Amino acid sequence: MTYDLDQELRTAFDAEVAGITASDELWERIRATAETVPEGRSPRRPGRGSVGRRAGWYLAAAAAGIVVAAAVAITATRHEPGVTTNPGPPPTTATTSTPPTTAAPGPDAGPASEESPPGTTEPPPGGGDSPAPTAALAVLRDGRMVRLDLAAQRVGAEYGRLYSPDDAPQPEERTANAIGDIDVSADGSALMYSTVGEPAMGTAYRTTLAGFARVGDQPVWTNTSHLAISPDGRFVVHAYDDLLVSAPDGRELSRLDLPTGSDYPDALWWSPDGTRIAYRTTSYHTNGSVAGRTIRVARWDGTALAADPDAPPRAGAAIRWAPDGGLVVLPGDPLLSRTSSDGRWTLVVAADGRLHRVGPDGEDTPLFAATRFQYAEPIDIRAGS
Amino acid sequence: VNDTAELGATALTPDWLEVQYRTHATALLRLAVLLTHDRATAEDVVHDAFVSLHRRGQTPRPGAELAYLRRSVVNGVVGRGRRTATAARARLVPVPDTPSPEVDSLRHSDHRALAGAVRALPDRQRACVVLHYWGEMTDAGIAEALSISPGAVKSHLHRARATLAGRLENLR
Repeated sequence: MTYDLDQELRTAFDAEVAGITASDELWERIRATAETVPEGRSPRRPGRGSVGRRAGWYLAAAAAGIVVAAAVAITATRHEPGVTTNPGPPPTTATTSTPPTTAAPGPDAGPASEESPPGTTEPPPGGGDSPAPTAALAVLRDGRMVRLDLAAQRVGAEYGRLYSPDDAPQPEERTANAIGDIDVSADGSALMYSTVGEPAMGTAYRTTLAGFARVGDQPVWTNTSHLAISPDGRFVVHAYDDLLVSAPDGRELSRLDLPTGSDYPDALWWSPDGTRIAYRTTSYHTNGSVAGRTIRVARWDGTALAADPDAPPRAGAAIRWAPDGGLVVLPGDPLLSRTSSDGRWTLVVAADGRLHRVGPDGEDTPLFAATRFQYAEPIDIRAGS
Repeated sequence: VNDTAELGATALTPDWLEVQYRTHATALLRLAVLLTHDRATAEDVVHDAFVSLHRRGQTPRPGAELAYLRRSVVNGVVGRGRRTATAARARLVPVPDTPSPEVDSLRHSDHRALAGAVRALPDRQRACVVLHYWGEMTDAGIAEALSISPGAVKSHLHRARATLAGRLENLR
């Protein structure tokens, strides 16, 4: 018997909506909302269209409050011969790690103080990802870390709305302006980061660093929630709906394959040799739960190399390039992870706030408790496990 | 219906908006239900579409009202899951881990297999399928509603059909 898919679809759709009618109650809801919103106001439909208008907000917020804190001096705690083969810059900036008592809240803390919406310290249940961090680490080539903290001066608490149907302040919908990604240029002179303050949108900034001091922020791309700088610093892969490879000055060089219209790229990893990019795409159910994830690999010029369309829903929060060129996809859902420039290890801040180093053969070494990013002791993450 | 949904120069009034609601809301709600598989979410989407139109302050061109509202509904659904997930990651909206009651009830209907397969499609593929088979819209109309090219509509429909056929074949 021939199965008529087209007819089956029409029949199923008709059956699904049979009896559904728009109610007077819904009209009353619409009317009540409309009465509170003046006509002729410029609409702010949530979505990609408003990012340009929001760029000024982002820039203002960044200029007002972002602190690139000199985070952790990686002075070797184990003074073993050979460990200091890459000494890094002079220790003048490195020895003053952020005092724990003044450290800004980390990912678990959210926007500081009384303006935090109630219950915001609770992670979303089950199907969602962990909360987006408002502070993040970048790892310099010499092993030092730079910390970017958006919440330090309560930028997030003062800024932005989600899904707001009008322009009136709605404090309960304020968002913690969170970090999508953060990366440091190969020479350590510039830091790039993306924000994800509005729903799934963001702006990428480039910050010039003088030592560890932030010189200034410059928006580079809008519609960018994730980015990663190639190890040699020649390219930046960045993503929102599209996945692009650009020069650091913003020139687009290539586009990477996104086979379906609803797979959103949300994690990017360069191979140590800077020729390939592993990236994860996620599709969502309408209610926001993850529908599926795919891990793909492509050359930087956009040539697709491989895809695993059956990645587990929570896979790919951390990916490492193995020395043999293969990929190791880690399960779990850490808040953030960064792989060293040589691909030898991945630094993972787990959801419990603990810092781990994961080596090339999968060994997981807890480094120290970094809850709320209050660093207890500096440690040399270049040392062997 | 002309799918070119440009705004006209006529000022919008509450009475006009109510007329549009009485005329089009049921079709829009059914469309939203098919796209979201969730009655409450569908009502939110329709609500937002009408409120957004009200906020514009101007009516669409005569004859383009439904197309305008339909595009607003579709845009309100596509990407909604991602926005919801992002909101949850910003610790504002809990993300349910279980299907809504509407979705769950579909599992027990005669069409649960097909509905489940459609529900599992990516947003834009699902929107293309619903607008094509239920909305009986042309590729050009779907393209306009989704702000994509007609070629992309064909591609989405082709992939969706292949996916649905494969999944249903596995169930038989």
